[in-house]
Amino acid sequence: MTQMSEPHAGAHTNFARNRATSQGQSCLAQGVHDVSTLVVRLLVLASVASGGCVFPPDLSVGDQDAGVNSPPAILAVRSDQQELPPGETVTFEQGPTAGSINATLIDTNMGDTLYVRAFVDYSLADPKPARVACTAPPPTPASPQRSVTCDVTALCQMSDVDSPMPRSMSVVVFDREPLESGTPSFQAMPPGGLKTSVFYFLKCIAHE
Amino acid sequence: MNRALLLFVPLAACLDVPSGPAPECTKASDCDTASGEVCDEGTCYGNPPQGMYAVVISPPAERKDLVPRELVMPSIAEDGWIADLALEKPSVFSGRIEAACVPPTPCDRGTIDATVTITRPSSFKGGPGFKTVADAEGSPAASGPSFEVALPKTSAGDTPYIVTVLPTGRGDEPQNGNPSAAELYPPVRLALDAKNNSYTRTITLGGGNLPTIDGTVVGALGGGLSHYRVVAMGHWEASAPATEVSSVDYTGSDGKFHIVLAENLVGNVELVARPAASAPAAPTLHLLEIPSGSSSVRSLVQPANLGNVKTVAFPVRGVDGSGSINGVRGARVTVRATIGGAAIGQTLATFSADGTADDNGNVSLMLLDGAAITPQYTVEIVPPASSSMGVLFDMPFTIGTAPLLLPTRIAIRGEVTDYLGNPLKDVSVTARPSLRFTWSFADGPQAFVSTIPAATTLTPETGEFALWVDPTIATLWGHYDLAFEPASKARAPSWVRSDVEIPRDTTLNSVSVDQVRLPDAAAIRGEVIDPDGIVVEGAEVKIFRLSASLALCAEVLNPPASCPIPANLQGRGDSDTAGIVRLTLPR
Repeated sequence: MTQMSEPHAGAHTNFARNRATSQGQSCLAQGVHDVSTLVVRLLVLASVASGGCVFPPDLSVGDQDAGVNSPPAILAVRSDQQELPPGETVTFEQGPTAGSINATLIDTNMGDTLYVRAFVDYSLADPKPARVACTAPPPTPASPQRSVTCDVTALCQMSDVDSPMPRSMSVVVFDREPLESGTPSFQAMPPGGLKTSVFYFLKCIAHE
Repeated sequence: MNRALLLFVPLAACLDVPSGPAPECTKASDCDTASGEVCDEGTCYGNPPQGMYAVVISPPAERKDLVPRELVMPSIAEDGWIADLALEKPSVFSGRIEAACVPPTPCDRGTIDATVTITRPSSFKGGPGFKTVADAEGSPAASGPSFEVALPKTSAGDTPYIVTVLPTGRGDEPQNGNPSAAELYPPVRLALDAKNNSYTRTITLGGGNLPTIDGTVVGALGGGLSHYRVVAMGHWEASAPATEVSSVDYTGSDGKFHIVLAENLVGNVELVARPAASAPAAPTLHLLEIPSGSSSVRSLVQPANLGNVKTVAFPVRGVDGSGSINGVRGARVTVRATIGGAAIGQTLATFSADGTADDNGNVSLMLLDGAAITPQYTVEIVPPASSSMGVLFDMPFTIGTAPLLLPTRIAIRGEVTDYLGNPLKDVSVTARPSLRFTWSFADGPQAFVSTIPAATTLTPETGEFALWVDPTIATLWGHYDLAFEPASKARAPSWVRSDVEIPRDTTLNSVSVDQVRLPDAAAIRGEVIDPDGIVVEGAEVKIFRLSASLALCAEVLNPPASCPIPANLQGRGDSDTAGIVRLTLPR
């Protein structure tokens, strides 16, 4: 499993002791009490109807600072039969019986769309495009965790079947859509984009 | 009023927490109780659709004491509870890989480096089956296992596991120092049942009576060719694909080789001599139809007039959806050639070179320029996933010709809605060649089609989608499956529209499918437990709908012998801390 990013250290609000005192002379207090109850109710209804608008809560998970992007994390990658332990040899059939992989992902930026790509024998010196691509939209209801299933029919090519040495396979998750051009090739993102990956040795076999 | 505005301003400036879907129910009467539905957790569970299903439960990776389990025709109650999602203890298979003791050579009682691959077909037609790979470590120790694997137990009547032991050290070039295990011993394959809690076995490699193939790899003028990796390809079963079934050898300057064939092969083998990747580009040499049951001496002869290696750079261009001609960055380009026929005793030479187009759409390959090979070149090109430019397959290729121009794909367009007709946002839509399309091709083009990355997209608020696919490949008109995976499975299930046919009209640049109305979702759930009855968190449960009809295999030209129509994955879920897994099925 990839190491999750450390959660952003939240500002620990130090609530000073606040003894109750009369606010009878406070304009605000008087203002609140002076506003018609109907107007207050209408305002609350309007805010709920516009999407559940609330005052900033003290979130334990999520963006304390809305401008900071957190990297995604990969909790697990599974084939149709079993979870694939990172760093180990995994076996897939070549062709339409290859099946699928399912990735369980975490991203505390719950509105981010995550882009999953599987690369085989990718290196900076010899970059190759992804053989598998799928997209994980923001989950509904909002949650840091989501899963996505990716078709892997094109993962193994004929030349990979019974290759003397296993191929290297990396499953990479981007939190911005990879760019059409840029470096690293096929893995470049817009500024601020973050990614994470997990590595396997890939053994391709023919369907029997 | 000013004070009302004072309240409104902070409300307007506050955070916008995304709202989820409203609960499906708050009381029983909100659900179809007549059909067995119950209201729980704000969801109407139950009333599962009728059909033939199978379930695959796989444990989380950290539970090494558990193995995957398949259930055919699980019991799903009217209220949506799936019974018996219990994981089982494995049958532990451990063993040693040793060399056969052939007197008078002193016996080596250590273990041999090998890769152990264990497979078993699924217990239900079209299921994913079981595959695992373990490394067996070589060691001088005369006792103790060199590998251990956990397998799902089998029962009486179940298909046994197939264990294939492949000695390591069979890379592209020989390792330094002593010969590797792969240079000394051929692979071994055996069947294994796993009815008991554990099995221990010593697997022996090599032996005194195994057939061998000796010979030389020579150039057209007769001199030995070095740096060739020689191996035999053959079959363990008549209908199985060819695989490496011998030891490997690497030729020296004299071109000589000696390989040992495995036991129990079916039919003849093919001798393959492939040049090392570090050597100058050269064809791979093949000798077909060599008997596998007896020893023989063979020669592989490289064809004459192959010429010299030269770097050939050329652009790959395509017409995009706007009509502009642009370079196709990331296109995978393969140039192939075949020299000679498949007659018995004749060497067949195959050559291939592949590369990836750069940011400008240019690709550079190392090709041979001799008169014997250049007329044979053909090219295959596969653009990146979801490109609007199409593939080229088996097109004649001449060095120095004008830029290769990829054809334009056709767009499959449509709209996804829920079962009530409301457009669905954030549905992942994927188009892949259907089985009808794929199995209409002969072996070569069929393998090519399988390597084309599937086009995929996400729907916007309008639920619309557009996916670029090849209207034809190798003159055959396309059929595609469209797979839909919604983001919120609680209200819409995964769904596949099968076999969308591309109209045979070359003037079309798009095809519209009827509105895709996803079926209503039936919510079901179950509790995943281990053999001790303790709940298991993080287990994955998949439900497949079984395909009763194999008619497709009679309707296409080239289905595989086993007619492996995959079972249709209908739903999946992961168990939570209480061991509860929640899934949806399409009604």
